[in-house]
Amino acid sequence: MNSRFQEIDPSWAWRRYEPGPESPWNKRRAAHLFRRAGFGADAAALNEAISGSPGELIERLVVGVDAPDFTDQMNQMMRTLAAGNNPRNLASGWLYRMRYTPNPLHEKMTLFWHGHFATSGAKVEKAELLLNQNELLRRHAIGDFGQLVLAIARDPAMLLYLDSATNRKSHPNENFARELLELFCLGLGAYTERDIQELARCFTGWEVNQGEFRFNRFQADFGVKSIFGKRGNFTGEDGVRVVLEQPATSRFLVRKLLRFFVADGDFPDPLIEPLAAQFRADGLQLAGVIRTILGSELFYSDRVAGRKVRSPVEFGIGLLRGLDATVNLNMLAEELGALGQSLIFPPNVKGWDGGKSWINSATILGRGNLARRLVTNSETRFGGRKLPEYLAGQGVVEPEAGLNWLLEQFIAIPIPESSHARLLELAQRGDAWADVLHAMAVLPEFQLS
Amino acid sequence: MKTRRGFLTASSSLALLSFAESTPAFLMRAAAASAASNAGRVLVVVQLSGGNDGLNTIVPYRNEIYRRARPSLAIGADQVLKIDGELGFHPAMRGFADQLEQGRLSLIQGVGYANPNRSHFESMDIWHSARTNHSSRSLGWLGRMLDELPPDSGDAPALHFGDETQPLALATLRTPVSSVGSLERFRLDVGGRAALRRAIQESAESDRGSSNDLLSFVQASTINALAASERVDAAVKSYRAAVDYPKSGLAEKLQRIAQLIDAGFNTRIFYVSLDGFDTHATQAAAHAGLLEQLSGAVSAFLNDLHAHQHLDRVLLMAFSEFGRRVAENASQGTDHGAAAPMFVAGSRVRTGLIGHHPRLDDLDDGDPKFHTDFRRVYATILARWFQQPAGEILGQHYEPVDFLNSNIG
Amino acid sequence: MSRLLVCGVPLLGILATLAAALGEERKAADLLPSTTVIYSELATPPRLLELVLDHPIRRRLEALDEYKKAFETPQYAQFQFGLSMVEQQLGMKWREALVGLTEGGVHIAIDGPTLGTVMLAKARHPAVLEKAKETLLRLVREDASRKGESDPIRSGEYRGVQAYRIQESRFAVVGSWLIVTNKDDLGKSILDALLDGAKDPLSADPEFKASRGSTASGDAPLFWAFVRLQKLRDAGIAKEIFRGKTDNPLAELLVGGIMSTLRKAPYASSAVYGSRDRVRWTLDLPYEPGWVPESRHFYLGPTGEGTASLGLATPSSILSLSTYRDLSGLWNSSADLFEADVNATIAQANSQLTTLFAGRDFGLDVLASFRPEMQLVIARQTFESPALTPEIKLPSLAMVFRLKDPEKMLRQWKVTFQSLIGFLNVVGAMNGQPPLELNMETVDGVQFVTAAYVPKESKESVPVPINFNASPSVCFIKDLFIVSSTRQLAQELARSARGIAANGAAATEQANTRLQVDFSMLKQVLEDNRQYLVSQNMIEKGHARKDAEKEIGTLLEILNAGKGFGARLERRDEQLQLSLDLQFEP
Repeated sequence: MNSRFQEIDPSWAWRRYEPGPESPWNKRRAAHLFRRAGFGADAAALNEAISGSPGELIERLVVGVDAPDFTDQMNQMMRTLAAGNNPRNLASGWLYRMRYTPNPLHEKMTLFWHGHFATSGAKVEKAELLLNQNELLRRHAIGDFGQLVLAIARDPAMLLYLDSATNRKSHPNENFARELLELFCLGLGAYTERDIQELARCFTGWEVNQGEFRFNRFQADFGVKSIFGKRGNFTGEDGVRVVLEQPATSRFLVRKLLRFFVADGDFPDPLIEPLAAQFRADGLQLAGVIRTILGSELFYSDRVAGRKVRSPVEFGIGLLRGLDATVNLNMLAEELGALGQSLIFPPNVKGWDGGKSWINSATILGRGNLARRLVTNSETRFGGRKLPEYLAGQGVVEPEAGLNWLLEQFIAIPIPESSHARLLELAQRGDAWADVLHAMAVLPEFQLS
Repeated sequence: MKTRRGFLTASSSLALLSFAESTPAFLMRAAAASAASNAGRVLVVVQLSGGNDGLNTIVPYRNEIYRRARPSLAIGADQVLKIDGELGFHPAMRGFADQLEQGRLSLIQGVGYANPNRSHFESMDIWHSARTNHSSRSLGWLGRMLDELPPDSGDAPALHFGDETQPLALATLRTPVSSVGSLERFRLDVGGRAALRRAIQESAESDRGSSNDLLSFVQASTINALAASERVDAAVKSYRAAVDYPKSGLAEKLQRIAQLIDAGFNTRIFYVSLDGFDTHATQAAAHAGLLEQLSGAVSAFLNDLHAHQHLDRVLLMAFSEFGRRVAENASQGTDHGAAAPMFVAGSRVRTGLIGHHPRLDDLDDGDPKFHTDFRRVYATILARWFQQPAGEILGQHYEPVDFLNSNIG
Repeated sequence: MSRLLVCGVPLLGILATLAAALGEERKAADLLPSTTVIYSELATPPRLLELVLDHPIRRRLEALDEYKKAFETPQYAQFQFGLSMVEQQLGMKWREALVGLTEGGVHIAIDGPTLGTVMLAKARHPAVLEKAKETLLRLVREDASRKGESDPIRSGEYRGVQAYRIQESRFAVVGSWLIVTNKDDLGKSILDALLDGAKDPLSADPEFKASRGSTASGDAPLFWAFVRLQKLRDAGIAKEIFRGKTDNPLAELLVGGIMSTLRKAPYASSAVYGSRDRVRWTLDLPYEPGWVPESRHFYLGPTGEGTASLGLATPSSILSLSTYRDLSGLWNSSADLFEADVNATIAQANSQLTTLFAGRDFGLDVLASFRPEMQLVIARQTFESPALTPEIKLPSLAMVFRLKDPEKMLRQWKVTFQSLIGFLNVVGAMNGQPPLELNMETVDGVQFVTAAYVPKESKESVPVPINFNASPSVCFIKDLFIVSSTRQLAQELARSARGIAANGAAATEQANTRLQVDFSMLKQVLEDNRQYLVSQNMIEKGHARKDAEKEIGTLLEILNAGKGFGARLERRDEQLQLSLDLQFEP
């Protein structure tokens, strides 16, 4: 896989994309940006996007728009959903938020961190703590990575998930320290077992008491520790600082962001390094690096389109947002779980592996059946109406133009002519847009972003 | 790397094709079809949750200590289904007795691990992860094996049937495992529209060139998925259980699994659970019902697979997180114990009792002592049944147990 | 036939007129043969129309947006158009026409031997019916000719009566009577009965008469039906119902005894009564204790005389169910009642429940310590302070039992309750839940054992968890044992029990089972949880908050229309009566 990006000149890759006759800023590129930096967009949002410049749009996505009403509504809704203490309800509520949010990039990054700092309701079981963590991730979604790590290190849900309850001075639990190095900051190979043991001592006494973080000084090890060649009476905060100072941190995180935003698979070091340098220069602030990635020549090039497998959440929310549709989100949460992505219930500490692992015969059929359920369910509304009326309102009437409208909206790369012909035959049968959408959702191209 | 190659040869040709840069659609279809008929070996795990009372499952009916320790629960010589002069099945286990007679059931005695943990959760985690060390229990033993398999555009490599939480045994790093309730998940729903089905089928098969290997992978998966859906459709229409399955939740799940196996799914691992073995009080009736459900369902499943000629490539393993104490308690029940028997069934097993029944005059804190580490059973299945690197998966070498026929490779 | 030939045509006309005159006096049951297996009647359709169409609730519903929207369909508009066409032809509004045509009642019956169905409707006056008939015949013919089809109506004469046939339906008009049937023979026999009087009418049948008698008391029903169960059983219809087995413990508990009766009773009758403020449905069955097998004695008692003697009341009650059910009898005769797989589940449940009840055998000790009379109460709970008010406010739930041996059982139950709370605390502690604190208190001489969650000391105000809905409590008053999910409800029920004891025994109760649901209290509980319902609605419908609030508002609005719901199962003499009763806000 890395061969794809092996020969790419980094200075070209991260150069700012400027629309031109060869690569115009059009609906296809705007849709690409919305798919990667969010969960897709409907026609109105795409038209609005191309009436401005890509730079403006990226700025709006990164900075976010003020939406106090929406935020209040979401806070209230999530609090009442958490009150039932069923973490499954949080997943439905979060899907609701993804579906309607005016700040899709923040939501997408919240999802990124949920996979990065994976914490599962299967073990934590307390909806309130899981909701608090979800809000923490959203607060820091495009903020300061260092502060995010510090906050997560004291987050009760995370501490419960990684067994801080057994983190005693006499017998430090190495779980959190190990994951901090291996999964959160540095990656395998950038540390020694000794670093883990010493780091674990820094976090002794970090406990959860009745759902809240507590520093228990009777269990804390105040002795001298030695991590990455530095010595001192390090506290947990010091430990995090020392880890973040490692240059591997910036490279590790940039690599993961590229996998998230640009393409499945790995990237060669020369492509990583300029961004890692920027990340370090920014003091591990995330906004700059994300701006660079989303505004780069590489990001809008053909090398990237269709090089990521859509996650189940991207698949489901993408369909809903693209058609301004409303469905039962409990049902959606359950179906997405069957497709391999139960929000709030990531499979293990590593989160979702993504890429090819989303795909097997059961999940392909499941995606098709889910699409059918979404578009044919009598409860589903599209822009408040039934599907044919909604599409007619969008000017989708004539079969060929309508089909192309849908393809442009939803599919990242061209589909074979013969597939196009088959879909067109369906569209020409009349009153068959639901079938067309269904057939489109089972296309191999549709599974890619 | 040697191990991966080993698996590839044993696996379907489809896995190879997914690496090929470009493959004409008709070839992919053919591959999907051949994968169906040429699927490899299957393991069906039946988890007995709650701690099965091993002593009242394989009963030492002559043993005086047993009878004294269980004034209300002991099963007498006139009731057991005799295995030999010392041991017999619980009378509700007619199905297991039949299978033993047919040469399809291996009873591995005295299975457990050192320093047994008597908490359901802890002990189940140990069985699932095959690790006694608390901090290394994030992955399952089957999950680790699944991670060894190369990405495959075919059927889900493992499926969990049931609505309970997915067992840790299936926790993987790479390949998410689905939990399913019905076969509908494996059928494409086109609302009865033939034209739509045709359009989907033909759209998937269109030639897509070779420039995007991810696209080739998804296309191969889609073609395989549609073929799988047709197989399940056909199976649902034409499959007739060769035997009557008893009416129980477990039997229903096993029958669905038999249908998928018969439909040519190349899923390697099926996982089901039967809960309720935590019989602290009024055990007799409850335990009898559970054992009847277990042995009736398993027996029907084996007979069904045999009649459909799949039994040669299917192995069924049943385990529980621990056994129960030798002495009964004051509520005509039994409390959490340690070592217990495990069951392995299929046409390729060495039938009969494996290992000796644990001594009742030499107990470990009131429990029978184990003599066979459960990971030796796992190792046997991993290495001999699946040809996987058992040592790597289990974290160390475990001596195999001789419960499989010598000719299985 | 020969007589007809002899008498000639003029006489026939006279006969028919005479018959029409006589027919005016007859009732439908006088015209139907005694071989009728199912008979149903709407005695006064105008009353029904008035109740449904002029009810204030209908007006309230009509004011709702959702109601209007439901009728904004093209199909409904088309229907309206067709209706106005017919009204024009008849020269009157549909309702007026319907009242005129059915004032004397509408009756539908199925005859056993011919398996024919017949409808008999009696109009206010022969002229009304005649006009309607002419209009109908004309409309059908016009429609056919417009479509270029031949005349779809065939007609003929039987004993001077003109009869018509459209497809499989035959109909005739005699005086005020309209007769519609799908079988010639059945139609003829009814015409014969109109002309000559029936030889063996349904109205003279002893079962029919007995059945009429059993429901005749009080006000006249809007709807009444009579079914010969024996015949249906013989014909092999609805086998599932007559199999008499439920194979589901909950269904068994609810209807087990009724199933046994249905299996043996020769006939049944059912009635619907209605007035502005209530609708009541009854099912009447003849009953003999001997019909119910011993395994089902738990239901009505060995002699069929088990009564729901408990009637504790609380002002915050949402639901109260008082019944006679011998739970230990049900539990311990499960082997006779259910299939093996259900029994296996029961055996497992027995094992687990025995563990939960500290080793006391659930079937043989726990359930057997109760007498069969018991009561379930669900009530709204109120909370003392914001610090103790959970975000989701659940109603409380209590069971009231009579103990067989109060002296001995009181102590045992106290201990069992305490060890149960201990068990919950151990499990809760493993999951990081706050513990329940046990308390003993005596209020007005009644001893309570209660348990409550202790609020956690926190700087910030955090939502109170859902567990705080529970303050499990038990109390003992003479032989009464009250187990409640909240201390509040336990105390309210204890107060009621003391009141009843002080005022002497309550009126003797005949019912086996009594259920009463109070809608206004139910609405209160939903109102208490409005925020939660709104959030759930957003998730389930994908609604914006505004729309979700509106929809929940509508739901509560609809609940406003109802006042309550009741159900009774009662045994009187040789009758078993089940009745359901829906009460409206007047």
